[in-house]
Amino acid sequence: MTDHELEQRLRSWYRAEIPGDETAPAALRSSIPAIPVTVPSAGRRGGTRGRGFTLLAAAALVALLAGTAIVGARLLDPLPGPSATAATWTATGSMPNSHVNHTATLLPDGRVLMVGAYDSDGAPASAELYDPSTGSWKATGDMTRGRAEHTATLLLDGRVLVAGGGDSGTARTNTAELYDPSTGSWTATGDMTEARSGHTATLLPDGRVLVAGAGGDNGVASATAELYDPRTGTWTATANMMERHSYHTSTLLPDGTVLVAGGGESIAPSCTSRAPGRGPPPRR
Amino acid sequence: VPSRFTRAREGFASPDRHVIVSRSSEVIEIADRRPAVVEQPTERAQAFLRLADHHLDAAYRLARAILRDATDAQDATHDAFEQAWRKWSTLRDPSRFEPWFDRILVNTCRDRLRSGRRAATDISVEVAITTGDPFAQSHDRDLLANAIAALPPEHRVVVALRYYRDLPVEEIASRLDIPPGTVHSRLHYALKRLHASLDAADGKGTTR
Repeated sequence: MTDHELEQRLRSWYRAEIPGDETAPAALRSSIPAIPVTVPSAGRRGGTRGRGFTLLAAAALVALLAGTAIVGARLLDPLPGPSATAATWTATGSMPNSHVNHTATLLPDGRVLMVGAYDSDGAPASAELYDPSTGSWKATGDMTRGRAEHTATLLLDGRVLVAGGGDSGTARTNTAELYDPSTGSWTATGDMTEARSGHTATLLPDGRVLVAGAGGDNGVASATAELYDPRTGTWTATANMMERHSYHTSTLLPDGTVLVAGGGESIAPSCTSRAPGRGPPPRR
Repeated sequence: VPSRFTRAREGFASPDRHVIVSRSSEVIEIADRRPAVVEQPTERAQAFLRLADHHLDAAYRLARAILRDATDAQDATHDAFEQAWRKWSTLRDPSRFEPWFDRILVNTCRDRLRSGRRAATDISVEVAITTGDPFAQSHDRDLLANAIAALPPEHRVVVALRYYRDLPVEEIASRLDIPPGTVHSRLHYALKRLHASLDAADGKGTTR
């Protein structure tokens, strides 16, 4: 084979391998608009660092304020420094329904997914999206069942894992489902090893999700924990915590371990302990 | 090297970042300790996003041409656009976005190739060549794919720019910031290695 023949073979191979109309995957396309928001850019005039809350923080604040949707946002400009004391609050569009014991999750495209709640009839299966560009809410696909006191976790692939919760004060579920922002639809995934509500879910650096604790029947909380693997859609039990925790906090620390704190076996706060994280330390 | 879309983002839990938690404490997102003001995209961000959107498909295809693996290409393209935004102020002329961005992209792809993913592919080349597996060798495209995958990263990049993008040597040299002579020598060496790989495979009982 001559060089010329090999060159022709290479060109043919590339044409067959990568069709000219091949487009970037949707997950990649939807990840691009977040870059100017999340990645610092050199040479930004004067810099906007050090002034106020991010969109992300605003979304988290939405999560914290049940019933009334307020976004902590537009700050006085210019601000003298990084102090948040000059921050102001601005009302934004009200949610279609009141929510309590719901979750709010920032999506890669900047919208916020609001899921679940208790209402007078139990817990609805409905879910809503908040669009920060318009300050408005709209309904998205319904979950496969009603939930409150569940967890919602943004996975690394852009989907949201919703796990556990209950549809009344006592009935809790071990089911879990995935929300795909690109289609607005929900898909059931593997069931947890036990029914949980009042638990926590923490995204680990390797993409798995650690679910720990739960409120229990008769006021007895759970010390169990399990791991969700998005690649297989399955749950695997992992080591129990040292204490029972419900309605506690769980926080990924910089060294890759997970801090579980507070909560209790019943209503009263009881304990603080530190559980070893799963997965490798974060890459520097 | 796990995918960006299946692994933690780098800096996920760096010490200068907050962890923002909801009431039930699932981690929602990580934000800078001194984050940006909530605002509509600035004009420069809008300009960046317009160009990124316009070039996204072509960028992804070039990453595929160099890396072949779709997930790797997806990761590399995303990383390259992040790099591009970081360096956005260095682009003087927006009409030169494509060559400016291509350099960032091919460097990102080359770095991913250097990071070690090639090992598995190299083994498959050796298996195909040394065992004379008739199934593997009956697939001409696979043979060429494996031969390309066995090239050193720098050579895979120039081969893709030359035979996928059809760029002239001078343009490749400009994209990579290397002398044209170096491009010539890399192409020469790459073709020689490809010949050797394909000849070895043909000599072991290929059906062609």
